[in-house]
Amino acid sequence: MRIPLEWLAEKFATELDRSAIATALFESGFELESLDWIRPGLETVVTGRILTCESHPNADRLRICSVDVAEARSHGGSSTPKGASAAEADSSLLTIVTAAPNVQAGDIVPVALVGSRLPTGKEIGLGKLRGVESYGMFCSATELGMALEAPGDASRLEAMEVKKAAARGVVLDAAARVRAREDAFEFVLVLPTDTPIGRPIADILELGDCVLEVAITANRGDGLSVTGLARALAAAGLGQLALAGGALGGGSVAGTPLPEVKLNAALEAPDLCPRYTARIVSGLAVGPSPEWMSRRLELAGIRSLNNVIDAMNYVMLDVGQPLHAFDLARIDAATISARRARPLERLTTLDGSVRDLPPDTLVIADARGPLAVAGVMGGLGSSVSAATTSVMVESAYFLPGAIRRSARTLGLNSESSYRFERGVDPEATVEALERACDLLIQVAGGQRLGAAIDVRRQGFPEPLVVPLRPERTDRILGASVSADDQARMLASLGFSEAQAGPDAAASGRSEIYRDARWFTVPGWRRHDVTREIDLIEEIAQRIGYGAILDTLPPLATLPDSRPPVSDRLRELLRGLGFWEVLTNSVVPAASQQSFVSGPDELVKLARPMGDLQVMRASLLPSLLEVARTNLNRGASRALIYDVGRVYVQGESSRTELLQATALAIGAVADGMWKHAPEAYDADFFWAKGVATGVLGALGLVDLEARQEGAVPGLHPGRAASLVLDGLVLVTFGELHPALVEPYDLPTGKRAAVVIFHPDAVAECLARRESRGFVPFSRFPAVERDVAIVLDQGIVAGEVVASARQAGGALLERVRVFDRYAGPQVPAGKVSLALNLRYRAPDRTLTDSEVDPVHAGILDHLCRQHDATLRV
Amino acid sequence: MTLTIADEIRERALAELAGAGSRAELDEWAIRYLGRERGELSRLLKTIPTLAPAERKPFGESINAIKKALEAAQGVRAAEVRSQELGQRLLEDRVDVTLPARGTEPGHEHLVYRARDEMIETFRLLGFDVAEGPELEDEWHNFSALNTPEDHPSRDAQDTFYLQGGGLLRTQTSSVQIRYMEHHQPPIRIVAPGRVYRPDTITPRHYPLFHQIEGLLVDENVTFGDLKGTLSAFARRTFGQSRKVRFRPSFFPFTEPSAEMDVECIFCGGSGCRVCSHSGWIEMGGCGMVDPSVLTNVGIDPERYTGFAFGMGIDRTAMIRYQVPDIRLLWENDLRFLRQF
Repeated sequence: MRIPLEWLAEKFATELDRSAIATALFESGFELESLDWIRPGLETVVTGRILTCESHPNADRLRICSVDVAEARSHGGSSTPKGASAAEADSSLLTIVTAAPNVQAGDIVPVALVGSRLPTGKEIGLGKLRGVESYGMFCSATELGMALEAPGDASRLEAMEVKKAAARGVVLDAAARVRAREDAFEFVLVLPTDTPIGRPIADILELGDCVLEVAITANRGDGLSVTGLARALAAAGLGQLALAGGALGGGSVAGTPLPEVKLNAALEAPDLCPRYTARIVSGLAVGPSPEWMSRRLELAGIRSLNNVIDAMNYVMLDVGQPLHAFDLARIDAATISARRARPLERLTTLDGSVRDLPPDTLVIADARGPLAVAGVMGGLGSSVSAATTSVMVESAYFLPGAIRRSARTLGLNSESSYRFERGVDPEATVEALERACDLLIQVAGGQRLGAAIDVRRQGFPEPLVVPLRPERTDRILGASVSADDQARMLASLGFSEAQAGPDAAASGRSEIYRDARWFTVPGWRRHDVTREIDLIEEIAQRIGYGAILDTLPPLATLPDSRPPVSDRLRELLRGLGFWEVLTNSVVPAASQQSFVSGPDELVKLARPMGDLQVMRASLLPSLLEVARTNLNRGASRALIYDVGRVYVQGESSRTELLQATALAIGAVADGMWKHAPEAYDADFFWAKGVATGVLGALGLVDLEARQEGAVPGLHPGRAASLVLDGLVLVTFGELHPALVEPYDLPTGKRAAVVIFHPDAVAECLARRESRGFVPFSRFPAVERDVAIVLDQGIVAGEVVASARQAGGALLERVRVFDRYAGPQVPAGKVSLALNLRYRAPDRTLTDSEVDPVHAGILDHLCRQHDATLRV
Repeated sequence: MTLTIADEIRERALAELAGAGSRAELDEWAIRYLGRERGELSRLLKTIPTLAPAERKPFGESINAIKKALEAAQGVRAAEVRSQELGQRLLEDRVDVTLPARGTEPGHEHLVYRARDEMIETFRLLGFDVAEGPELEDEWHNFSALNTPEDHPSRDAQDTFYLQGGGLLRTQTSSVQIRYMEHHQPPIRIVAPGRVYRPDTITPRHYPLFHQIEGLLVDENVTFGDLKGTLSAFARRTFGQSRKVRFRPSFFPFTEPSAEMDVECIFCGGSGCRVCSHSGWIEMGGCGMVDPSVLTNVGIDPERYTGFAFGMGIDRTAMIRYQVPDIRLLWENDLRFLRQF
């Protein structure tokens, strides 16, 4: 919310200390976002430092300056980040040609940027002075709209000159001060050397009107008015309040009564509108607002329209209660009702659009139909126009939920709905009405006609009384504040101590609150203070968060969990040369189609946003995108991985699975340096090396490789999984050639994909945690090599498995060390070279012991696989 | 006479030994003089039977003395030669160390994950366990259980991604608080890092998904002072032990009292700069005492237990800490960006 400082200051009997406002606001739960000085004409005049100043080659009296205005030039474009890059910083340098005799390199001066229209009326365009383009102008105090005759301006500049001189170690005498002051008006104003650059000159010299921008959280509707903020600041000790509450006109009836105008309202939806007050003001003249009022409204960010509407808005900003003026001639004031919209009702709102009113919408209507969407926007048909002479001023209390619903379903927001949604003071309805009528009569003439009406739901508003156990405050905050001090703090915020809790028994919690003290909540805090804990928060703010002592909670036990296995996978992958990337989990649907068996398996957004359409079923498409980007930008290869979730839509439930997916495209060994292996691309066996290497480093060995037929994204003939204890730990292989083209990858090259399943790996590791030491033999081994020729369809793993099966206790290890197909063996056959290692736990083996076992294995292999020994 | 010959052999052997410059020459020398069969000393010893009996013993002794002397000299010389040869080899092995390395360049960590891991590590030191929860959430865990009213604006379709067939993408990791408390009784001390989603248009400051770390501590006698102490300890370990921290009142539906934590700007030290928008402070995240009704929602007695919760943006922290000007750099994954971390 924006409020002019002078308006706020008016609420105080004491001088307002501007420098203390920010702290007082944040101690009260508000935040001062900015404090700006607004002076028409100075919007684009900023402070700049003259870096260089050289004489103009074509003119004796001109000089060419290079001026740094920091980020000032990017102020217009909100998309520029605050931490601008070096390139952007360069663009903050301006060339300015000046005739000023008194500036030199190093000076900080006011710079009017191109497009400025100064208070003096002077316009700054892109100029060319004797062949050199100039992008702005240095200003004197006079050009900034200051005046030597204005005592404030003159003394301010004199103080600045004294400070500047003092910084140089010079004390100015009276005559020198006057001269320096006059120079500032005549020549370019040179600012002190510690002036920040790139800032609006109005902020630096405090020119014009000071406006505060205050951030208000959703719970603090009471902060959405000048009075509300003044109240909070006063409670924070900033000054003595002087609210003009007592000076209201009240319900006086003056002038000629016009008895034929009847005012009547009915609450047909008391659950949405429990209080409705209104009054008629007659004989007014619609016209422009007085200057002071329109100026304050504009500074607060509200457009001035006419004196009637402005008066309503002014009082709303002043006290927080939204008000509405209906043209009396265009409504039937005797039949006003606050009710739900009826089926098929519509209303043309002030903004000119015809709106269908959903059934639950709260409207203000007369006998003929809806006049306004209650609390949100008035109807065009009953609005104030130039011809209006009498109005009905409405001040009502609508429930926040009702207004929120209306605003949402109609997609319509206003200053009024904003305030009702956050809760206005239900006890101050009439006060605001009368204040609005006072102001209306002051600025538009006319007089009150008849009595005000104040229609309420039975007993509304019921007093709100909340219990507080002072010792509970200490327990929650870890502070020690006496009960009386707590009561005093609450009193400063408007919470008065009540005699007893009237409905303590009714609430059924009388037991714990038996010794509690009870406080009546002021009307403006009814929306956010309803419970004991809310009072405790108020006390915490009054104590000051900073005054509550920092403590560390005692640590009775240590956390149970270890770092997740995915962290170890990440580290091992990095060790193998993979780079970690960050990929999006909400992706285009098209990218995922080949990774699910049907579109029903994708988790879809109800409302896609551009490329954000479905939750990914695989990380691979995003990794391919990253590879594409980097290869396009000149990278020779991409070794990348990301660990993230994939999402599966089941029939009745959804699952999220963690996957660590790695992709290698390009040469994994570049063969560039001496003794290095020849260059080769990441292929199936390299991928297998990554899979076994990472798992091996985790202690998972003797993994079974299982051929995989159709893994999405992988080459069907070059894909496999590693399995241990029945758990699939990793799936890997070569990238499916069909993906090369869609992602513009280099054709004719292989790429490797490795997908770890961290949950399975973790489970596997957990199962192995209980294992103990297994003794190993200290006796030498006997090794035998053999080559067998067999059908090429038989996979090596099968041969190894049957060798193991036949080998018995002495066979320690079987290893395939060569596979050959070619002219040396018959067509359709392949030669496998095996290395078998035998060892006994308790003795050195002899040939006579090994020979029969070895022969038995070979015999078994030959029969089992229809193989022959290769000699 | 024969002794003179022996002396002569000794002189010659010593002279030749001094000239032997390699192991091969040394071996040759040894065979020539000390060889068992045809070494010159052995041959001389073979002449003993030809000598007069009285001469035999002193002659044999003197030859043996010479042999010992030569063997000793050989040992010394051999050590010299070995060291010379090693020196020579070391000299020849000398390489140009500025030539490139062989083998694969190791990978790099992504900045966001690194920031997450650093934050987790600090909270582990403070005794926090790590918990996780689903990103595909329901309205109860993401909103209702956290005291967010039915008609609250944050539930609007422009602020929350809803899913076809019901459910939503969580907008905050606070949902993990609820899930954890549903299945655990106090004492509870967890952090929950994770990905959250909000339909923001992509700008240098906003991306529709980002990462948060949520914290929750519930036990008997947990105070607001504990909250301040814990988060201050975190901030100082992350940004420097002398760094100032402040807490200012704020509002969240699920905590009360609520606060915003600010850390003294790490770039200007509080005097005001562009990074901190000239305020001297950088916002770290929201926190507060767990609202009693949240505890009630998950079946924990708020009269017996109290607790605090906090949430911080991980991407944001990383961007501030490493001065990354545009959030899109985090998602673009240009290798030249990644290489820096």
